[in-house]
Amino acid sequence: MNQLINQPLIDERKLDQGNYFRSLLKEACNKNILANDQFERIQYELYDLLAKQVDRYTNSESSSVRTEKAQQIFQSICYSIGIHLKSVSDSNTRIDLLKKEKISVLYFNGINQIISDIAKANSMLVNLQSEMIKVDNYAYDDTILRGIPVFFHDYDYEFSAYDDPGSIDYPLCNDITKKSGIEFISEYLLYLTEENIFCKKFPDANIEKLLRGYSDEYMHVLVNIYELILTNALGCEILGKSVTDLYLDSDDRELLQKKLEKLNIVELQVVLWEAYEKICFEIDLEEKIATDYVKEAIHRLAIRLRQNLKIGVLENTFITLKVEEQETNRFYEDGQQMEDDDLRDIIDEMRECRFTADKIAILHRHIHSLNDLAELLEECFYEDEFEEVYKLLNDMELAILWKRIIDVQEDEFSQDDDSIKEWMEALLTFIDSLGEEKKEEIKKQIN
Amino acid sequence: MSEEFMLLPASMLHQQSLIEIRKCNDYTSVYGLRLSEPDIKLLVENRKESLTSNGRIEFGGGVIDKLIMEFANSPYIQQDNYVSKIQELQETFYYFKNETLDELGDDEIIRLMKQYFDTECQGSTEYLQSTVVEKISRKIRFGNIAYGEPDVNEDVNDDLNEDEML
Repeated sequence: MNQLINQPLIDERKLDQGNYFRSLLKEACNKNILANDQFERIQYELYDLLAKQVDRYTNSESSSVRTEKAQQIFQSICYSIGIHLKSVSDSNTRIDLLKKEKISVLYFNGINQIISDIAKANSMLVNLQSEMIKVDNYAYDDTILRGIPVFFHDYDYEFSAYDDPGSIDYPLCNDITKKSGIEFISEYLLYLTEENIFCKKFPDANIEKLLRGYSDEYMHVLVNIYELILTNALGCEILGKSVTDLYLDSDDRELLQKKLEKLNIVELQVVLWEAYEKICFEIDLEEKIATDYVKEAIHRLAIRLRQNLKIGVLENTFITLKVEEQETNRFYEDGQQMEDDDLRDIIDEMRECRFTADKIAILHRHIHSLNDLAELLEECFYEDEFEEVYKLLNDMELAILWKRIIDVQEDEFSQDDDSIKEWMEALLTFIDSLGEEKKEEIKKQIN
Repeated sequence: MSEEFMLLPASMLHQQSLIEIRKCNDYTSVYGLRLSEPDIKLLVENRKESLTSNGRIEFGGGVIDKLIMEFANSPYIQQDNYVSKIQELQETFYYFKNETLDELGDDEIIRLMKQYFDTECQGSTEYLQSTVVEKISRKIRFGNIAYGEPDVNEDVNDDLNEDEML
């Protein structure tokens, strides 16, 4: 009897998550869960709320607006109400709210929820920016440093809550485009953060070689880095090879072909999932990515893998790492230095930046010489900001800057307090923080 | 009604207008102007058509009452052309709102319309719409009151409130 009472009145799977409030209302009316007078009451209250919002939008200076604008504001109201309804645990309670609660109350609760979600998402972004993978992929860097911040700057939760401004080009492993507004950004940041946590368990150098193996133009391609790493790691795990090396060659692909070709999609999924769990244990991944998210990724991989096993072509699934003949530095020691005036302009621009992420974005765009970098470190960065820059540098670049410090220390003519700059002290502290083993590796580059 | 507004009761969109317009008769009767019930319903119906043709939506009673109150003392409006003039002014009003990209408030638009209607336009809404509204709208859209218009009417420049300019 209790089970009957608690049966959901509406099948949530039928509802449009992107248009939740309206689809819930429609479904409730279709199933006669909502009486006519209740529906009418909701209509009148929506009209009233829309009129008030339009009045706010026009600062009470206009009694009319373009129909498109009214539609946008109405859509925003519905979106906000949907946000609140979705925050409630079960669909029967949501229906109850529709029946009993004023629309304005649902709306303002939704707005408060959105404001809270914005703060949480912003916090996620700040953490993400400080924990980026060090790869030279434009879409990845640009999305995190510039594209997503635009969302927070331009998001209008009052009149366009469903909108998601900003430039979010970097693709996640799984598609979340059915969501919009703050829901989309929150979910995007959540999964990107989790993907990042996984990726950071692998050496940067190996990730870069993997990307280069995927495409020589990896800096400009739109590709999900996590998916590439996950796939190769799974291949390594299945063959009993070192997972963090990510290394698979043609012989390995032949072995994988033999091992997996007789399996159907379901069996492949089982094998891949078991391998994934072993990987998590091996790389000490305490905070696992949401199970459903990984399962979806593995499901799609299984389908793709099945196709490629059938035709015996696994090169595009399990990638061979590629080492560049000459290691190119992000910042070239002998590289193109800027003209003094141009550098002065960059310094002025950087001094106006409030956030470290913006300063780093300028570095990415304009700086290709370590001399210029050293100048900017001296003029424009302070305290905790130095570490954010040093995290971007590879071992060679860190070694070159370290060598400069050693030269200054050994120069008998510069033995005073001012000769060791703040950025130099910060660099020495940073290198110490990497651990003895890493420090030795960097030191070897100097010699 | 479009899909987006399927949840809104259509009747509410013009019910309030009837009430607001009826009240205006108390004021306009001083100028010998009065609207009958059929006249009021015709104006409200016309309001709906004007809004639709101009791609706009309006809440509350709308601007008919403001137009009536502002134009009641116009020398170019008498009882025999009262309804038709208000209809034309209403159409011009929404056209003006669109052409000025909603940059001007209702009161400012109505003030400008009245000023030119009674003077330069000599009671012609056609002239008001095709000449004065076009000139002002062009300036608003280009955001520069003195933007390259050698035949600019000096009065048009002066009358735009500085705060309304882009």
